[in-house]
Amino acid sequence: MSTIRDEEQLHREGAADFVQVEIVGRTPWELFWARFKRDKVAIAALVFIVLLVLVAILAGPITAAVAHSPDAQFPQYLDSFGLPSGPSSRFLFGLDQVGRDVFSRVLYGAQASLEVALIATAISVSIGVVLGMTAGYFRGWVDTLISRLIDITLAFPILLLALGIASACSLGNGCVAGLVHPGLGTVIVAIVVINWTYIGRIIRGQVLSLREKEFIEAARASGARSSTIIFRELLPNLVAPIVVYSTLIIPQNILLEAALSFLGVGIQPPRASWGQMLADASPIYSTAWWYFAFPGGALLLTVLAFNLLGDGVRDALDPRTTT
Amino acid sequence: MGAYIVRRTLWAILLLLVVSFLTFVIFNVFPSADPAALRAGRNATPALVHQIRINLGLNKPFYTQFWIYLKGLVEHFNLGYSYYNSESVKSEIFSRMPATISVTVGGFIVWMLIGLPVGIVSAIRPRSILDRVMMGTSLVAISAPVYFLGLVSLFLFAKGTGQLQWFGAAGSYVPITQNVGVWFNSLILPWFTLAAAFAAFYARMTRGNLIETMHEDYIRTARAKGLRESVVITKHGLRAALTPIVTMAGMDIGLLLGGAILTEIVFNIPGIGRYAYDAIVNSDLPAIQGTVLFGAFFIVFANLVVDILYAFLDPRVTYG
Amino acid sequence: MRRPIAAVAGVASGVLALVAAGCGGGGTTSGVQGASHTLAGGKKGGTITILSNGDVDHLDPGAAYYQFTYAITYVTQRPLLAYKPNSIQPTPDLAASMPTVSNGGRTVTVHIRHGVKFSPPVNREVTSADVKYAIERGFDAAVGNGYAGAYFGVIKGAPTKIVNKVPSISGIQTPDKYTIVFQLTKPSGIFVGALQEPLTAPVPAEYARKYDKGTASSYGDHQVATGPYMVQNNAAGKITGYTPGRQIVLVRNPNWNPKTSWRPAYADKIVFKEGFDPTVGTKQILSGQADANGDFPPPAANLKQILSNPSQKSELEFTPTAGARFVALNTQKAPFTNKYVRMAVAYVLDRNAMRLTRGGAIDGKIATHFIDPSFGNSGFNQAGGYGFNPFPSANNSGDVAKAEAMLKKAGFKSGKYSGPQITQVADNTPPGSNTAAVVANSLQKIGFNVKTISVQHAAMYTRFCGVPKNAPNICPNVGWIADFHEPQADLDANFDGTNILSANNVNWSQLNDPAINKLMAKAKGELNAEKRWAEWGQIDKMITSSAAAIPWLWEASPTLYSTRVTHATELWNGGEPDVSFMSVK
Repeated sequence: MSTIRDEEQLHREGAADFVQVEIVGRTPWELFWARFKRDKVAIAALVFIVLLVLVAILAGPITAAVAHSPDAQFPQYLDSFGLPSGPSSRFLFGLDQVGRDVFSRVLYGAQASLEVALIATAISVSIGVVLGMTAGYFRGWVDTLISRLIDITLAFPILLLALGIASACSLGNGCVAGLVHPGLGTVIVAIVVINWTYIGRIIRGQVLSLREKEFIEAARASGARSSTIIFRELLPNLVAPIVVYSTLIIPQNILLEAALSFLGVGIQPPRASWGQMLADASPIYSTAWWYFAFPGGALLLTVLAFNLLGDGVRDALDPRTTT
Repeated sequence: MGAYIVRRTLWAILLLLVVSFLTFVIFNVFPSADPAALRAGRNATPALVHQIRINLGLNKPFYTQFWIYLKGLVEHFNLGYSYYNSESVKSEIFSRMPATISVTVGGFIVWMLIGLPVGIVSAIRPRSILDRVMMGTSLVAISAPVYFLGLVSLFLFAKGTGQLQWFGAAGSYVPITQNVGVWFNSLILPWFTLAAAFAAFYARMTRGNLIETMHEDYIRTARAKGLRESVVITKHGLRAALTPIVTMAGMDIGLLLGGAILTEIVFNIPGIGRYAYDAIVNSDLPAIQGTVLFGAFFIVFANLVVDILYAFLDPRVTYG
Repeated sequence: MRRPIAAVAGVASGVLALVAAGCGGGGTTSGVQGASHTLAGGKKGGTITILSNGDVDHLDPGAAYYQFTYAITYVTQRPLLAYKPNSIQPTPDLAASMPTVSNGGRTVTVHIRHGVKFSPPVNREVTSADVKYAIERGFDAAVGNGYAGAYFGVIKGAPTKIVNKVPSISGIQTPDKYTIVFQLTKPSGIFVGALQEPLTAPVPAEYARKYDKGTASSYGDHQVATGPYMVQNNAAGKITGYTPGRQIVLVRNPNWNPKTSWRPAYADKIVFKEGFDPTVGTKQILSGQADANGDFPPPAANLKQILSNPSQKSELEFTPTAGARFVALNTQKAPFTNKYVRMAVAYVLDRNAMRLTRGGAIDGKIATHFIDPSFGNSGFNQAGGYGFNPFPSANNSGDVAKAEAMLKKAGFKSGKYSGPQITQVADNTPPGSNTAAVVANSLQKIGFNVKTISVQHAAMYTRFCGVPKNAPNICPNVGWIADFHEPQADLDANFDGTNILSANNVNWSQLNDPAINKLMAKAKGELNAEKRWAEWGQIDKMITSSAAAIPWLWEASPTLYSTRVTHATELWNGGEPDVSFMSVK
């Protein structure tokens, strides 16, 4: 693959600007934080995310206090045709098609979305970093193997592949001797399978340029083992791109999980998930607007907040970017 | 140049082979149930299951099964047979291509027409109010899932069910050969919904690329030579900035032609994406498998075309 | 008995669109409709369009076993008997008169009409040998008929299991060109009723044999018709009017002689357009772009709108379906081996909320036992009518206290279930998925931990509920529609212990109660109608009290017509519009 193409791939992820940054020793966190603090929008996004995480963690107590259990059904508040009613003082965000409290389900949905996005991101970043470093440092056939693996993975249409896997594994007794069923596991597996490739490429690119630096040569000359060099010398210098990349990929993963749930192969009912709620809303959108507006709005705000945070982090790490 | 093209083509072919193999593994080997029974559709009589078992060669060793599968693929482009619909997957996909092409190409035109100018204007005046508003809106558009935007637009604008009844509702799609007016009207909302996220993305990318290019030395030289700003931007800045964008657009189209699933579902357009989704609801394994393979083919093919184009467009490309 | 209620694989699916009641017939919940819909005096000519969400199952009359398919089968094929719209008694169709029963019920004789011809390319007159061949091919695995054994297995010489060729059945005799004599191994109370099944529609042997060879018959793709309409074909007989999943085109059968038939057949052409989303389809019918719904009910939101608009309301017909929706409990697997646990479930299920998932009160009456109201005095009253409700609760919303009392009797001292998790296999699309959610919720009130596995509708039957080995504890989305107007057709398949199969099983509760089996065997051979109905009424009460399955809905299916056509509905065949009686106004 040409280096130009690698750059395009990076542009794609929005981390392009970062490629230009020269890595000279450790990034001073104080410098970063000072610049970050000046970005009001990013701070607002951070606050929103912190609140969201709190709400997700405390979904149980909150809904118990001011709303109802997300699984409790209230058919007595459906009209005589079984159609749900809208926002009221009793049900802040209205009811869904079997009479459940949309407000509670939106809060629990936050739990599900964040859980999946964070776990899947953590795993895919870990895999991507390890494989990227290995490929970049050792080069040769190891690099070729890993790069080709990345190419093959990227040849598949993402959504279709995830759907295909989930579907093939939903019949009978699941896949791979019952390890993969539709639900949380499948979503995480699907996301990880796709995501590790992007950060793998970025890290590989970074390592390729880093390994020529003097401090690496010095470490090698002093007889350090490869693993020590990789983890003690290279990794600390990669923290910045890892952080930037992770904050950029989280919103993508939230959207991917929601898309899979929307298509019915993500988080399984009765567990609440925003994507599932939007799918349920599709046939009744014209009469039950609250049912798509609130989960959709929550999804939009969450992803937006993470995107803004990601932008802010990237800008703070690289003062030359003009955003 | 020639050697480069040959190498890329050979790699593409190898990639297709590997993709076929992986698809075979995912759909034939992974599921813990009997592959023949999984495919037999609604009326799984023992006779039918037995027939399928013979067709797939399930009593033969693993590599023979894959060979049968591969042979069918290469010789007849046989993507499988859907017993659920009593139709070959290939014919279903091809009959739905016009719908997917309508959505994809139309959406592409819309997103390029919006995204590029927005990105260029923002790049020319970075950090202005206009720039901030446009980039802000772009960020919101990227953050909204396609199906949410679709529902909102249907709620607001769809004929018959929306608040303002301007455009065609979900399910109003007809082929262009049947009625151009209705065809066009039914695609307006899908085009803009699909285009929203892409336009935003391309706007941001164009802006970033152009800003960077404008910092290059040769731009400074052009300015120093006394050329007008508009000439500097268009003749020198844009060309370098747009090349990567055009190639990326090629890949995006390749991806979408495999089926813009979410858009087709929300707007009920009978394209390939919708076919894949129906196949999943109906647990129609051959159809899903065929569609995944078809989508992958398109991506590999689009990548190959893009890489070859690059060889012509960008002399800096390193052949390796 | 009728095959299970299959939902449409679509968004707001419904049962095989059951019929809408009619003008003047059947027992609707709202009584007789206005007399503005008549079945006579229509205008000849024009094209009628019917919309559907899904596809037919098989066009081959020997294999068709689906409500929606029957809308086509009954107007293109002529079984011995058939139902006129809005009637509950069969009328001779191919038969010249009603069959005669003799020899203590062991011999049934039918005379067929003269002058009934096959459509092109066969063109010749129908003879008794054609009916014989039609029934025989039903036992061939290549045709795969789903009810041949159940109704026609009682004929002498009929195979006891499915075979791999068209058998020759000695008990079907054809003494002359227009007479068929069935010799039965034992008297059967319902054999005559079964003669309205499409399997009895004639098939020309010399033409069809070549298609019936092999592992799967292709006769459906080359079929000829005897009814007023035929699926469009070419000169060689190959069907050209069927594009799977897209449309089916019916044109006039040039060899159909109106003098031999009571069907008026007004329209010249009928087009079934498939793949419609129920909301979109409903809007098209309201705006006149299409004429009636085929296999989906208008979604609840649309029904609400239509019912509040007087001009639209008059285009809506409701038909009670014969049969019920119910929740099947697996009586062969703990904890539902214990009848008190089952009774607790029967008490706690919120049937009202379940009905709301299908549109509420307009969707029909809450079922308290299995034989439905349309049977009137031929089984419904004998089963206790509306008054027989062994598990009552206020507003049919479930009674937690009584359920807990039952659990205490079962040994759960606290009144709440404390055993292991139970599973239910449910539909993955609405409204079935919503109904299953309500069932799980009701059960949770008495301590059950319910795991729901959501699968595609057909898979629910073919892989889980219909396979005893894989059957879960609960199958919440099942139901049954009687094949014809006999209570046996409502109860036999689902609750006779001798009917439990290892695959394609429809006795989902796997009920095998010796007392019930014995009474059923007696009732099946009862030739006196009054006695028979009383016996089946008794059987219904026994099954309901055992709580092996909990009925919850006697559905009334809505059919919406456009203003450009006259109305007509079929009763037993799922509320499909009988297109041979519809005309463009």
